[in-house]
Amino acid sequence: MSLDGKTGADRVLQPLTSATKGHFVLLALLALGTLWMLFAWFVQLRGGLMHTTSLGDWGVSGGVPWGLYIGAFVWWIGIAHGGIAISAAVRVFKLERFAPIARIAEVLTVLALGMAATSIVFSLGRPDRIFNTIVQWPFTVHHSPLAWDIAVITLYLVLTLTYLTLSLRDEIYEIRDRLPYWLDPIYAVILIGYRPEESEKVEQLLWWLAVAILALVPLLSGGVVPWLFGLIAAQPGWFGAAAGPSMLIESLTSAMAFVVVTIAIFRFAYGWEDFIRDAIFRDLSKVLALLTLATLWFVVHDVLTGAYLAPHHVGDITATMVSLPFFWIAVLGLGAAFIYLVAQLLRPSLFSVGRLTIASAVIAISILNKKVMFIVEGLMHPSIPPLTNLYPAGFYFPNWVEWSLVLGTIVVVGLGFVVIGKIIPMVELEVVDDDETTPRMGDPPLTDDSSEDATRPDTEVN
Amino acid sequence: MHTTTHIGLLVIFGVVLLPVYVMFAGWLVGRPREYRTVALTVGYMIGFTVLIVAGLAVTGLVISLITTV
Repeated sequence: MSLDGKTGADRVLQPLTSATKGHFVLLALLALGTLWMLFAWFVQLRGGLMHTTSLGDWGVSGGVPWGLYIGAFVWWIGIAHGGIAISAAVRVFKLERFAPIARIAEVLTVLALGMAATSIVFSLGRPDRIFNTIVQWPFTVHHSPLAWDIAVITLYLVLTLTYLTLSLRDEIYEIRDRLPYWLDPIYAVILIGYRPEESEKVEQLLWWLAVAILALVPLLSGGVVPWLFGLIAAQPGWFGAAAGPSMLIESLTSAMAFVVVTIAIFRFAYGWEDFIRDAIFRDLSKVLALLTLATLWFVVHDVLTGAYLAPHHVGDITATMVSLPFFWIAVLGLGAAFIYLVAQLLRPSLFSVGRLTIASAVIAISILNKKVMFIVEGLMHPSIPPLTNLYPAGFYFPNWVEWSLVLGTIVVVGLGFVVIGKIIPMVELEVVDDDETTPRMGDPPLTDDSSEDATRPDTEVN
Repeated sequence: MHTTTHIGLLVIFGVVLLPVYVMFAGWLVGRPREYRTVALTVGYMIGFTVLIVAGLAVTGLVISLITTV
């Protein structure tokens, strides 16, 4: 019980039952951003993809057919993995320390997968035919990595939604009388066929779901998505066995960075410093430092193999890559963030959640930049005839419609969090009420003290 | 037919879905052995799949209205 008489559960449920002025302002801003995105999409739909955007066709316009949208698609897919992977790891590997951020991470996965699919729709010349991808799937699955992609993303979304629903059943049942009555239809769906005695079986189902989700991370972000590019021999920037591991590491890096940003915003907005403690951010920063280093390591590999006696087409693409300011902006962003992450690990006084959040945002944006360059360069420098003879090296820079749509997906994720945060508790109530080590409001602060970490029983185990 | 590229069924059903097969096996043979909740969960999975596919159909339909009017 806190000084103001509120339990942890009260505070987690507060956003569901009351709204502040700040909440409505944020909701309005995000809604406006979403409307702007829809307007830009309307312009693109009415004008046609090639006519409206700078995604020109091969040959005639000397541009690229894939650009910012497909880069954003790969980026969102990677981010989706970070969220649910953290939640699944909490269950499978007993990483209880991260339990307070598990629900936020699960919701992030659902929203990010939605935005990945939306980015694909943005990139289609005839999006009205999107359903054909399903109708034709039995015929295209034999040979098309795109069809594999559709199958696996759908599977991942279904598993994630099922995981989220199952993990909510006990909780929603317990607190249903404290939830907004006008949302009853949603809670009724979550509680279909609910019986209190199912809890033990549901826990077992969730454990196996978590195992499958964790196993699917390398199969999707390090498998099916990179195969969209790595299996195509005509593009030297794409083709190669390293595409899978490289993209997996990049994806996990951007995912971890995005998770840090998301939970920092939640913590700030709701004053949940005592649930989502600094120790969680410190642990995430260690993982993020390692992943950022691995991402930079793959960049070194890319540059070295492309610059040192490489076949001419690989050499060309590498020379172009290192001549672009965007490449160095990405490297600089990753490098600067990595230096900060290491510095705050070596000297804890440099740590602050605000600085870590900025470093994480820089990492996430740098990887989006890198992914877009990867897509574009691969298309600009084909190496196998007849593609090589179709056009001279073209030019690509996204226009306002493309920027609006991709930035709009970030706004929609924000809007999604604001809306979903009004429907379900964003921290598992079991964590805030049963965890005896979790202090209540008014207790002495346990933050910003790394010596405290060493005394916590879960620190050494995990 | 280009046989080397026709490996999709193997990729999807032989590799990518392996974790899902293991998950179903764990659900069915793991303890407590209780099939009602398993059936309910499978029902949710089917429901979500239908929702996604139907959502795609509606999306296509709405876009076709915007692009053709």
